[in-house]
Amino acid sequence: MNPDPATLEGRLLALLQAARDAHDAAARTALNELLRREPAARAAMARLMVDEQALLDRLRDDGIVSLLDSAPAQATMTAARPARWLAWRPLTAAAAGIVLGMFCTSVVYGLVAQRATVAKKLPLPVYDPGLENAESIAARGVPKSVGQWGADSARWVTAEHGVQPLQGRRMLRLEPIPRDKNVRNYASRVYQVLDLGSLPPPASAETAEVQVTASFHAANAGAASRYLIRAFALSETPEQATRGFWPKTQDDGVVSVAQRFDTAPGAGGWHTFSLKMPLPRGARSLVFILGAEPPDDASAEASPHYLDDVRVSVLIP
Amino acid sequence: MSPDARDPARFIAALTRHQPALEAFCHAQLAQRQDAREALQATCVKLWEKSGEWDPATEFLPWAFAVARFTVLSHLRDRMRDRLVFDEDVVLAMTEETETAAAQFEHRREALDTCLKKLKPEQADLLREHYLAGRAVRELSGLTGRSESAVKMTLLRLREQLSVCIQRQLRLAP
Repeated sequence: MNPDPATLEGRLLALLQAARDAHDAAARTALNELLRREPAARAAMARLMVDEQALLDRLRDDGIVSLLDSAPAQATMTAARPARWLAWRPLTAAAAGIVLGMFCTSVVYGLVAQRATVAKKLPLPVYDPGLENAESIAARGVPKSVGQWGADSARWVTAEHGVQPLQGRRMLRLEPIPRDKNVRNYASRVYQVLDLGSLPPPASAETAEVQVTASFHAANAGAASRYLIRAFALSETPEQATRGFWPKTQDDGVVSVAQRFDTAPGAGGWHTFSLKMPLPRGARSLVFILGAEPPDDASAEASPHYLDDVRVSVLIP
Repeated sequence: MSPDARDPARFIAALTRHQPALEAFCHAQLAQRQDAREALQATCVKLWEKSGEWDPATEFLPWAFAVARFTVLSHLRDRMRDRLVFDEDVVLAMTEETETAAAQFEHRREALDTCLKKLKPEQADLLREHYLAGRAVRELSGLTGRSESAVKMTLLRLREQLSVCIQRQLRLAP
């Protein structure tokens, strides 16, 4: 069935999509005029929006059920649906970024390098993934427990400098670290720790991987940008793992992967990048770091970057 | 407990039962998930504060909608115009229709359940990624390798297909 622009519902849906999703001002005006003029349009719009909420409600329930369903371990795994395009496409999208380097990888759990096709993707509960909560930066650096963002220097903003949040009403502005500051690392980073202790058994299988995805936007699209995603899996609880965190990362028992992503000068808009890391059996916490690095040229003016829509998932083959 | 509540247990039961319809009302008026959630939260707080005014012998939902109308308007006035989908006068004009549709929320959701079963898994995935995960059309285009216009068109088709199906299911319902 094709959307029929001749039907009232078809017109309303098309205008709503353009106004809300594409921020098309003309479509917004047309939509409001149509609703003012035609009582039937108001009734249809009300129904469409209530049905949209029903859809959200239902999809949300499905997500919870799918997480609960994964608990019975192997039996569920063998019955899992085959991979569908959305389960693996983010990895392709990540590869589309210009990957400059992969470093700091230490694996001591004897992980299998060859990955099978992803059969199940379990989203992990990232705290405030849409970066909407203006109160949620609780720590400088790595936070001490789950349910918090930590940051070097960042603040919540709504749309500014022509940059609209990728989703929701807010995004995080990563402030550049001044060059004259005496710090070891001039990347402006945010941090979060997740509790892996309650993962269902399939997620702790030897071949599971964790995927961290985030979207970045440069305030100065004319300059090249470099972003960083880094993840650490530790066998301690979040509270233990974050105590004296950085020295622990040198330990052979910590699995970590970091990846840099470059965007070319003039490549404006939001860029979504993903990092994948083998998830060691017995991992009880995951610390992930997202950041924007300053230009290589120390004389170049550093400008802010924006971060939005952070997701972490466990990929189970 | 609210000191004025006539029957706190009945109030809480009614609020819990009708909260999905209230959320649907807020969503239909504001058309943005985050705004709707904030308006719902404000509505629930206001309802609790006013719980003593509700007579358990009367219907809960019309009274709750009246409170929700005010919180939605207050929310609209706090927002910059360019962040809103509907103008304030349009929201006011749509209030009655929205209440009618939101009051049917449970029936519409049941009908939707039936309609969603008719979708292919990849169609349900697309809806989930767009509406629940909040992925923009551009992002979905990058993820799927399809053009933005193709993704847009598919989403529109699915929504229209579901809308027709829901109306048909409601007509068939006993």
